[in-house]
Amino acid sequence: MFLEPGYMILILLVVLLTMGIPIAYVLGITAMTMIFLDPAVVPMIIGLIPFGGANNYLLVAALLFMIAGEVMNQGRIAEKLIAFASSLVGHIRGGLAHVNILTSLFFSEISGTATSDAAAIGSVMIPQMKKRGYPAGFAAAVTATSATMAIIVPPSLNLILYAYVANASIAQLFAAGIIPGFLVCALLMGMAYVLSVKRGYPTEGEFRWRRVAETGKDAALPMTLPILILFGILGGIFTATEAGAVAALWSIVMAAVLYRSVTWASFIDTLRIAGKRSAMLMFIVATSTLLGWYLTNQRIPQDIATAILSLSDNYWVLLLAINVFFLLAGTIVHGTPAILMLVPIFLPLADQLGIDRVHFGLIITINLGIGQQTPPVASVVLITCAIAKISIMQILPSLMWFLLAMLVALFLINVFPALSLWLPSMIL
Amino acid sequence: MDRLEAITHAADRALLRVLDGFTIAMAGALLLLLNYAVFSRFILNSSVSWGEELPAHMLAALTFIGAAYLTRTNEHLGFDGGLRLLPRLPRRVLAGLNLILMGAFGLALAYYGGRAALGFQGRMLISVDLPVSLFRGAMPLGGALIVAICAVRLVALALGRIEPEDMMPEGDG
Repeated sequence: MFLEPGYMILILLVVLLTMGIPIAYVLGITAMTMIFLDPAVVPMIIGLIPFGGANNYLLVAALLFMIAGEVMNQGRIAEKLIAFASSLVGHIRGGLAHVNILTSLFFSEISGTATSDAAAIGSVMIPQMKKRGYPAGFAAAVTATSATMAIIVPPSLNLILYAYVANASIAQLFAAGIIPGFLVCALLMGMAYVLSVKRGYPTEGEFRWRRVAETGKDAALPMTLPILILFGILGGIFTATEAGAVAALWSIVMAAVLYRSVTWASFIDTLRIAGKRSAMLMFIVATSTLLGWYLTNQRIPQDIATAILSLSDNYWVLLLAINVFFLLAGTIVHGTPAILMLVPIFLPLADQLGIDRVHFGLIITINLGIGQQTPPVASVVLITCAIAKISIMQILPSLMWFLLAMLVALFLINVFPALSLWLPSMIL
Repeated sequence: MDRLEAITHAADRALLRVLDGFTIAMAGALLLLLNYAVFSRFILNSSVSWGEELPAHMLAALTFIGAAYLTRTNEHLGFDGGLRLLPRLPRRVLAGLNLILMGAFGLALAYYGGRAALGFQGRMLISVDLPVSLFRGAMPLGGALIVAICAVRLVALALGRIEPEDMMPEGDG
């Protein structure tokens, strides 16, 4: 080959992505080209490895959690969670912003994806916030950043993918995401409070225990879903896939039988959406497995780790470099391909640095979550901007403050690994 | 020419219906099978033997057939920013090149996936009496569909029946 395989792969990836070829194909075409150019590799591997990547029991969980999230989304469950959150935190200055953030935390534990969270909460909360005098940019920024909690707390799709790529325990990763999720929630609420006091945003009435009890009764049923997922997996009762199956069934029973908010047609639509999203995700998994196989075969991740370690062996310098890299990667690549493409490359480095794989998973997930709040890849921000009927430029002034809060959370999670590792060590 | 175009449109509509039905059926079947597996394990106190192997193989089948479906509906993730910036002619040329490359990958999936599926002919899944090639066959079938979709689009693009904008990947996750 006229170029080192590592450089050639990098060039191919960048050129093909820029040409507008879908990411799954970019990974597949790059791997195929390298395999055809390398006489030491049998091309028959193209017929075997991608099927092995897609043939994965753990990743069936992603499809099932997508069904659960979509059913809850269509079943207008968000409104019940919003009423409950309002009774708890509506009395604080900037009440609706806190309600938005807390509801996102509740909904995150059902949906698993930030886009579902932003669409479900944003469509209800953003118009309400605008009506109460909050600037549209502020309402959209609160919704976009709080939706990121969906990729930190269980059943985060990104954590499921990371568990697959890094061969880490999904139960440990789910447990590890809980405290960082609450930390992000607290910091976002803190920032919302500071901004609300400064700008004189309103409260939503007084705190009343009676209202908490009344709205809590309505929200109790949807809240059984995260409890079922958490206790089922962390208690060792269910595998992640079994928990996904039960969560999907329970959400269908709730929405169709108890709330009568899902019709047969909308259920079929749910299966269609979940099936298509799952195929999209899994085709990226399949093609990235082929490229990952080639990278491992050429020992490229180990070479990169050695090269980076030769620049510095200081733990904090390298940890900072990893954070900056994933933060920037998150701004240009979606979470799914970023995890599938980059984790296998950086895992040997993390292992050599002695970073726990569970802790590393949380660091990566949060970095990618923050990175995805800025263009060009800003799917969640684009959704909230569309709901708020504003441009990206109008959301940026408020978004910056909430991103700052998330960066503080990221810093704390990096510096204090116990924030993510303590809970798994206690309960598993 | 008009007759050929009408046949292509009819085949396209039929293909979309079949792929849509397949996607819905697989998602529904996985939901049912996994809930039955949980029911059997916890209520009947007897784990089903196929609880892991069959769903994993079904997911793989959904992956490759679904990949062809999403290629047809432009729902794969990607970045179209660079392509949109180009003037009309280079944009059309680049879109054509993209279709050739995607079709080439589809062809590789069809050829090598087909050889792999044939290699598994006669073998059954370990836990259930279903042929492995039934699931492995999804890869060459999906690959062949990708080739067909890219070929038809390439011709349509050359004839000016479709524009690159009609084939841009979804920019959203």
